[in-house]
Amino acid sequence: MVSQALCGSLAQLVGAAAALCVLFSPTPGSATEPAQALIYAPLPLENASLTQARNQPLVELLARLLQRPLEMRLYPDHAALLDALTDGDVDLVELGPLPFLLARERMPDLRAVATFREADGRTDYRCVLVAPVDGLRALFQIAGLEQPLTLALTRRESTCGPAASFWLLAEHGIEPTAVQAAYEGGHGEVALAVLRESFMLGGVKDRVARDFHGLGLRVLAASQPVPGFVLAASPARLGAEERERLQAALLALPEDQRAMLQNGQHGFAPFECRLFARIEAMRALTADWLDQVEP
Amino acid sequence: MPLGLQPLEVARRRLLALALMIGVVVPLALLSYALLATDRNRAEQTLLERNLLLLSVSWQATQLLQRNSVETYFQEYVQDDPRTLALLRAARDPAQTDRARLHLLRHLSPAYERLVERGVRQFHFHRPNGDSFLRFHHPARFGDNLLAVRASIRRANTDLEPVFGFEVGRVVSGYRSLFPIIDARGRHLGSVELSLPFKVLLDELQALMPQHAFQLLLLAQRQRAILFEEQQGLYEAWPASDRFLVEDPHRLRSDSPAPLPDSITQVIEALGQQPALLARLHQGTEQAFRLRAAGRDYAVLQTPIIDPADEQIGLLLAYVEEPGLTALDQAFQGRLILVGVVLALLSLILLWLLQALGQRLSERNRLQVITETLGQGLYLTDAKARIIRINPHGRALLGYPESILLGAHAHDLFHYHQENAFTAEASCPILTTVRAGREYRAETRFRRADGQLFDVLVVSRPLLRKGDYVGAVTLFEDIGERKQAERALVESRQRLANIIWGTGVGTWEWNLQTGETHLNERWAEMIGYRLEELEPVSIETWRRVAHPEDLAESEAAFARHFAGERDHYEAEVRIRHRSGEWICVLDRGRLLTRTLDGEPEWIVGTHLDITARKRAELAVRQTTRLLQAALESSPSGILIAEAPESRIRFANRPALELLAIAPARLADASPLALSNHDADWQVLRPDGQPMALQERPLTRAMTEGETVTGEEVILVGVDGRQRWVSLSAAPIKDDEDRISAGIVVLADISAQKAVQHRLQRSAHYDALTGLPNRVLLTDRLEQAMARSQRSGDRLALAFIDLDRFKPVNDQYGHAAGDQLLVTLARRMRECLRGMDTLARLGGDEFVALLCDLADEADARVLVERLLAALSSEVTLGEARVRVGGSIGLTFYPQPLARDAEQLLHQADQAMYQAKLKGRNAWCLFEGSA
Repeated sequence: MVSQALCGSLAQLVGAAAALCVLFSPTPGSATEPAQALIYAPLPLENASLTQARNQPLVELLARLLQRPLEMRLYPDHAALLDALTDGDVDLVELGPLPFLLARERMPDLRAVATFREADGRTDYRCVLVAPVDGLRALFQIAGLEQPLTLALTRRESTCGPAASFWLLAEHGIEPTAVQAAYEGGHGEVALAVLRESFMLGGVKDRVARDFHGLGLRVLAASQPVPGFVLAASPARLGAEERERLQAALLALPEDQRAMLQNGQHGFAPFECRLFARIEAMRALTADWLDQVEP
Repeated sequence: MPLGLQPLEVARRRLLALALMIGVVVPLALLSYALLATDRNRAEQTLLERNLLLLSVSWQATQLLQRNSVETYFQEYVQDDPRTLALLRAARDPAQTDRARLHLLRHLSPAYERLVERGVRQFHFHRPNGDSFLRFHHPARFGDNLLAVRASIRRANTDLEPVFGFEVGRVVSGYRSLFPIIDARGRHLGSVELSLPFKVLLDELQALMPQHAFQLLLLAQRQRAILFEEQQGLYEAWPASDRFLVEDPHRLRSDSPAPLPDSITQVIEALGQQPALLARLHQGTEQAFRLRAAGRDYAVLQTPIIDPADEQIGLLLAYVEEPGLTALDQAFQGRLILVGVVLALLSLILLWLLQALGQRLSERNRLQVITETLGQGLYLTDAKARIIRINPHGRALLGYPESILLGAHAHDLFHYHQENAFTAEASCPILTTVRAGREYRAETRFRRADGQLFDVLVVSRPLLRKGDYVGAVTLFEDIGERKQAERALVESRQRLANIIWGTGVGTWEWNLQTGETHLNERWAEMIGYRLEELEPVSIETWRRVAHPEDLAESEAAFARHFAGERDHYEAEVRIRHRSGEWICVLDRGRLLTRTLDGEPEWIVGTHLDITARKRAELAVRQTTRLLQAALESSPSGILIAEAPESRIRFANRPALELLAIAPARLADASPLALSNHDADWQVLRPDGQPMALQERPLTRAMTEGETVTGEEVILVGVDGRQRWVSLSAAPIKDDEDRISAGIVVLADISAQKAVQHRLQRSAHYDALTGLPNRVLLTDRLEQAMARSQRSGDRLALAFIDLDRFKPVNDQYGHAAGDQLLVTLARRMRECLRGMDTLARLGGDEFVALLCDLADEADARVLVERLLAALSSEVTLGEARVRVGGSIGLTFYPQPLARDAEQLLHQADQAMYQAKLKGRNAWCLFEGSA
C-alpha cells in the first residue's frame, strides 16, 4: 500500500516538475561589465585545499575563454554558496543537480552554461545506496531488522544525499521516517563510514561506490540517471553573448586543453533539462523527511 | 759622430723604463690580489662548510629522531597487535584477502586517526609481493604493485629489514619508514609503511637550525613519472629551475610546510639567474655556496636526498643569511685597499724617478737637436782654444772634416781678423775677450778650407767653472749674402727714387723700432708743403695731418698687416692740406724687415692722391640714392632685369610683395616673364591661356626694344593663387645703344578685377538661389532660339510657379520661405540636364529652358520630373511642408516667328491654365506643339 501510494505521488510530481524544464533553457542576459573580476565558486567539498587545487586549472581556462579576470571563491557549504549566488556575489558556479534546482528557485535568471561530463563520458550519473559486503545484502532485509536502520548521507543539499537516498528507500517501500540518518560530508567519507560499519547504509554517487567496491562496498539500490553537474552563470555580469561564446568554447574544448584540467578533465556537454523533473520529484517527496537527519 | 742621443733612442729608453715599472708594479699587484683572493676564498669556503656540516648533522639527527617515534607506532599497532597480525595472515589466502582488508580497515581506522594527529601522513600495508594491500590515506586505491617504483618496499620485503629514508610516492613524497611484518612463527606477512611529511622533519630541523629556511626539491622527471594522475596538480616547478618540483607550494594540504619568507623567495629568484650555481645544484652533491640577493649575503646549503634504492630523488636546500660572508668581503676589500695604496706609492716613486730621467734625456736631446739643426756654426773650445765639438753647419761653413777640426786650434785654423791671417793668438779679439770673461759679439771674417774668406757675425761666450775659464762656446753666422744685399740695396734705392719721382706718389719709410722716418718731397707737396718745412719728420708728422677718424682705421690696417693677416697695408685716409681742405690719399705699404725677435722693423709705403676720384664716386652715389628713393617710393612694383642672364638687378618693395620674393632670394628669383622656367609664377593671358615667352612684355622690351604699356596678365603662384597684374615694360640701353636691361612696372589690379566680376555676376544671377536671372535667361533663350533656327532642333520653355508658397511664407516667415525656394531650386536643377537652364524670374516664379530636344516627349518627361520635385516634402527646421507647382510649357520653333519675350509669355499663359486645372499640373501652350 505504502509503495503504491508513493509511486502515485511520484508520477504526479514527475509530471508537474517536467513543466519546470522550460525555465531552464538559457535566455538572453543583460550587458556585461568587462572591467571587474568575475567570481567562480566550485562545488563545496570537505577539503577546501583540494577543492582549490582541483579547480584552479579550470578557473584559468574560464578566464582565458572569457578574456576577463576570474577569481575562485570557496564556500563552506551549499547554503552559503546559494546565499552568495542570490546576493550577486558569484558569477560562475559549479552545482550538482539538486543545488542547481534550488538555486533556480531563488534566482530564476540563473543560466546553465554546460554540463560536466563524468569519467565515462556520460552527462548523467546515478545515486546508489551502499552497504558493506558483510552487511545488508538487500533492502528487503530491512523490514526484518530489529534495530533501527542507520544511514550515512553526504550533505543536506547533495543530490545523492537525503533526496535520492530517501527516494530510493521509498521506492523500495521503506518508510524513511524510521531511519536514523546523519551527514558525513563527502561521498568518500560516507563510503568509509559504511565500510567501517558505522552505518548500515550509505548514499553516494555510483562512481564512488565503484571506487570502494574492491574494499567491500556493495550497491543495494540505484536511482534512475540524474543530471550531471552543471556550470551555471549569473546573467548580472555575464551577458548572453558571453555565455554563448563560453558555452561554444567549452563544448569544443581541444583534447590538449582538457588534459590540463582536473575538474572538467572529462569534457563538457550541452545542458539538458530533461532529467531535472526527476530531481524535482525526489526533492518534493523527501522534503518532509529532511529534518529527521542529524546535522 | 752624433753630439748626443738620437730622439728615437730617447723614446726607446723612456719606453724601456716605463715597461720596467709596469713589469714590477703589475705583477706585484696581481700577485697580491691572487694571494688575498685565495685567502678570502679559503675563509669563505670554511665558513660555508661549517654551515654545511651543521646541516648534515642536524638532518641526520632529525631523521634518527623520527625513526625512533615511528618504530614505536609500528610496535604498538602492527607487530605487537595480534588482531592485525591475524588479519594479515588471513590475507595470504586469496579467498579471504578482500575480507581481511575490510576488517583491517575497520580494526586500524581508529589507530590511523591517532597517527594522523601525531603527524603521520601515510599508513600503508603491502603484501609480500609488493602489492599495495591497504592505504589508510587512500583506501579506495590498492592492488597496484609498487616494487618497481618504491625501492624501500622492495628492500623491506626482500631483505626483511626495516628501511628508512626519504622517498617519493604515487600520492605524495615523505620520509618513509618501512617495516617487514613477520609473525611470531617467522612468517613473512608483508610490510607496512609509516610516512611522515617533510613538514614534520622540517619542524625538528628548524628547532635545531632556527636561523635557516628549508626547502625540499624533488627531481621533476622522476616524480612526475610516479605520481597518480590526480596528484599531479599538487606539484609545481621550482621557480629557479624546472628540473625540480616543489610539493604543494600553495599549501593545499594541511601538513605542508609553512611558506618561505619573502627574503628567501628573492634568494631563489636570484639563484634562477645564475646558471653556474644551478649547474652545481644539478650535480646533486652535498655542497654549499654563497649567493647575494637584495643586498645581503646568503649561504645556500644543499644536501642530496637519497632514497632507499640509493638513488637521488631530490635536494634539501637550506638558506641562511650569513653576515660572516659580508665580513669576509669587507676584510678582503680593506686588504685590497691597503695593497693598492702601497703599490700606488711605489708607482709614484718609480714615476718620479722615470720623470727625472726623462727630463734629463729630453734636455740632452733638445740641446743635441738644436745644435745639429742650428743654421749657424757652433763650436766649443777648451781652455787652450782647441776645438772639442763643432756642429754640422759649422763644419759645412768652414769646409773642414770633423777629424781635422776636432783638437785643432780655432784661431790658427780659420780666424782672419782685420784681414790679418797671421794675427798672434794673444791679440785675437775673440780669445782675449772671452778669456777676460766677457762676451764677444762682432762682425769679422773667417777663412774656409779652400782659402776663401767669408764675412761672419761671431758671438762667443766664455765657459767658466768656479770662476775659472775652461773654454768657450762660439756661434758664427755667414753674413756674406746679407752684406752683398746691403750693397745692392743702396743701388736699388737710388733707382727706386727715380721711379717714384716719375709716378708722382709720395713715399714714406718708417722704422717701428727706432721711430726713424723718411718722407719724400712729393709727400710734402701733396699737403702744400716743402719737405724741409716739415722736418724733422717722424710718425707724428703723419698723425698730425691725418683725419682722426681715418687714423684709427689706418692703425688697425697696420696692425692686421703686422700680425700677418694681410700681406700689405692699405687705407684711404683724409689728410689736411695746408689750405685747410681735406684731401684723400690711398696709403699703401709693406713691411720690409723684422727684428731677430720677429718684431716689425722697417715698413715702406706710398701716398697716392685720390681726391678727384673720391669726389666723382660721391657724386655717383648721391645720384643713385636719389633714383633709388624715387623707385622705392613708387606705389607700383618696379623691377629691373639685366641682360643677358636675365637676373633681377633691382626690385622695389611693392614688386617684391607682389611677386612674393624674399629680398634674400632676389638674386635667384626669376625675372618676371623673361624665362620659360619661372619657378614662382605662371603667366597667363586674360583668357586663361599660358602666355608664350615671346609674348611677354619684358621679353618684348628686351629683345625687340618695344615699349609695352598697361598689358593685363594673370599671374598664378605655385600655391595656385591668382593675381591680375597690369604690366608695362621698356628696354634700357647702354652707351652703345645696346639693350643692357629691361624695366618692368607692375600694378596689382586683382581687386579691381574682382569688383568687375561681382558686378557682372550680380547683373546675371539671382542672389538667393544662384540661378540665372531674367537678363541671363533672355540672353541664353535668344542664343538657343538662334541655334534652333540654324539646326532645326527643338527647344522648350517651361514657366514654373509654386503652389501654396504664400501660406508657407506667412506661417513660417520669410527666412523659411527663402530656404524653401533654395531647396526647391536645387531639386529642380538636379532634375534637369547640363545643357538646360533654370532661371528664377522673381518671387516663386522660375523658368526652365530645355535645349536640344530630340522630340517633345523629352520635354514632357522633364516637366513631370520637375512637378515631382516640387511636390516632395521639404523640412524647414522643426516643420515639414509640401507645396507643389504649376508649369506652363511651350516649344520652339513655331510656324510663326516668335521672339524670346513672346515665348516667355506663351509659357506664362500655359502655366496659368495649369493653375486653373487645380494646381500641381502642367499645360502645353496651344499651337506650340
